[in-house]
Amino acid sequence: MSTIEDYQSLLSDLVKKQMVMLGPAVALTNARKISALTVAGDGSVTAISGDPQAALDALANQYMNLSGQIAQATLASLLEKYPQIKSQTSG
Amino acid sequence: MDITISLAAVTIIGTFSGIAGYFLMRSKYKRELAKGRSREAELATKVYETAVLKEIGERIGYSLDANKIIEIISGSLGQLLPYSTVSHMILKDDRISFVTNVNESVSHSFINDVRGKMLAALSEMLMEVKLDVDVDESISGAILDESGSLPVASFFNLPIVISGRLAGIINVASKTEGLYVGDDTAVLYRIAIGASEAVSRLQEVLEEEKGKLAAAVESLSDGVLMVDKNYQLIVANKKLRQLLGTIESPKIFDIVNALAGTFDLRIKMEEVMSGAEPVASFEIVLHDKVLAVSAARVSSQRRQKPIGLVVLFHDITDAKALEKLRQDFMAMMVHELRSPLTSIKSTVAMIKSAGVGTIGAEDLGKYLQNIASTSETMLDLVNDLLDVAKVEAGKFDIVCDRADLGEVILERIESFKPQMAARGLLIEVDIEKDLPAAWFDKVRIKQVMNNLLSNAIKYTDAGTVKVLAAVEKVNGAPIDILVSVADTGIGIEADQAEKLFSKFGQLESGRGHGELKSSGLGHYITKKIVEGVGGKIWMESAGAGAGSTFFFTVPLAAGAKRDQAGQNLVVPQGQGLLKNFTTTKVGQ
Repeated sequence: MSTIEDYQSLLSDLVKKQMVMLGPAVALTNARKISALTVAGDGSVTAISGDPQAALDALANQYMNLSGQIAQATLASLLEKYPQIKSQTSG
Repeated sequence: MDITISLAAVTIIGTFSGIAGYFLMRSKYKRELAKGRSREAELATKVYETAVLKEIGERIGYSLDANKIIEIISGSLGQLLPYSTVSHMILKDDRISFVTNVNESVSHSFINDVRGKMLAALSEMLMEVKLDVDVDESISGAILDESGSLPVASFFNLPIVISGRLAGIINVASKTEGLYVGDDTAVLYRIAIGASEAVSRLQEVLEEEKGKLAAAVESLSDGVLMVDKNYQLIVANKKLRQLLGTIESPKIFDIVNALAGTFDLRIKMEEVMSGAEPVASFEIVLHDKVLAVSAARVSSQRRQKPIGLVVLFHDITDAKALEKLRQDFMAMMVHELRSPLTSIKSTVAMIKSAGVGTIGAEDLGKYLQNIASTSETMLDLVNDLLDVAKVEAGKFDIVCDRADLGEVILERIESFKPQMAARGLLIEVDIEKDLPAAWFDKVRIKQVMNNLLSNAIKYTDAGTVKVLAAVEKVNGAPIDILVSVADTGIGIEADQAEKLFSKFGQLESGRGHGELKSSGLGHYITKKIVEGVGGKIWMESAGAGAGSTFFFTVPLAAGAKRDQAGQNLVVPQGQGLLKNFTTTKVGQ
């Protein structure tokens, strides 16, 4: 069973990686479009309101709109570290 | 008083309503104005996106050059965003090229910072550290200003992915803080994805076509080698790998090494590529095979510049062997014709020098008999050559009719009995009683029997020649007549048997026989005749010295008419009594 901490950690990793890939402004702006997430300036997801899985899928979609397969590959790679979490968008 | 108060109240309320209405209207107007501006901005963004994608579509055409996409997107940024530098990194063959265009003067450290951020992004995207690879750097645009050392304050990266592979990234960077936080960058990501998808689709189509071409080249019966203008190997097809005996995926060095000792492939390629010898053709011998090699430069259709070269390796071993057989055959024929002519000439010269009146009648008779039999041999040779010429020209007529095959066989045996007796050979004949009528060309089948019987006699020094003829049946039903001519002569190895029926059979099989010379074409002509009447011919031998048996079949008259109707054989019209004949042209 995935804990909220697992989701927070995964989401934080995802945002931080996107900050390196796409640039901090673009990555943070898009992460903050997900209303369920509270994202700090360093990319850490400090709070998730509501369904964490829905928030993960929404964030993954947001990044895929920007970098398509790159974001998909990044998420797939991160999900390997969190086998208990699945994403509908990870392919 | 009450009325006055009421009027005042109405006036105040009316005034407030008017003011409120004004503010409401103003607010609505402002909202509409904002909406209009937003729509206008949205429209402008859409127009920009469409224009950039259109330009990408027009400029890349059928090229898959990621550079062009990156250049177009980079070049269009000025219309959309403020920036100090726009840079791109392209990955190609384990090298990275880094190109920066400076819009606002920045320092070297700023550019180094951009480069570091792009390498970090590349490493993250590729999931492979790319921080210490060689980078080819190019900077253009505004002059660098080393006096200021403002770092990169704002930046974003656009990845360009072609067919699932990262082709490169674009970086937009500025000295100004707080940029690129809004949705103004979204259009660029949409453009990048749109362009990537368009090029990926194009690449898929090209890959598919390339795959078809590669499959065709791979299955060619000639060896094909293709290199680009830098002599990098593009294609080494299966046949080439077989001919050269190289590994499954050879490098150009493997191919050069495989050809060492025959010719220097590198030098030949350089000669062809330089144009000194645009097309080269020559022959080499490699692994007991003769190969015709031809190399040609390949130029681009548009620019007429050399883009690579193709080397073809055509296996001509068989053609060379055939050519040698032809030459040997010609030499043999010349010899076979010259020998009897020399004999005739000598005999005539001898009679002439002695004087006809001085030679006794008995001796003169012997001389004339010698001339007659020698010229007969020559005539046979010439007739064989003529028959072969007719076969090759498709003018060798076979005229079939209903006839008694047993009768023909017996007649031929009778004519050969004196020869057999002269050589001390026995003859055994077994022709099935009441042999049904067959469908064949009497003259040509006589020729077949002559060939088989004369060969049996020729190649048998002692023993018996057996001739059998019987109806062949399948499941009890007669299908044809099988004739066999067996001897106890020199025989032949099994692997050489089939060669006897080829044009140069005697040369190929080495079945020459000392004294009795012939064209060696008899079996070839025999095969054509038997096949021409709709039969089959083959030979069996237990090996050298174990005798030979030749078999051939002739269709039955009843069945042949039916079968031949379906074989498109020519049936001459209007030939009166010959209307039941069928004729066919026998060709190679």
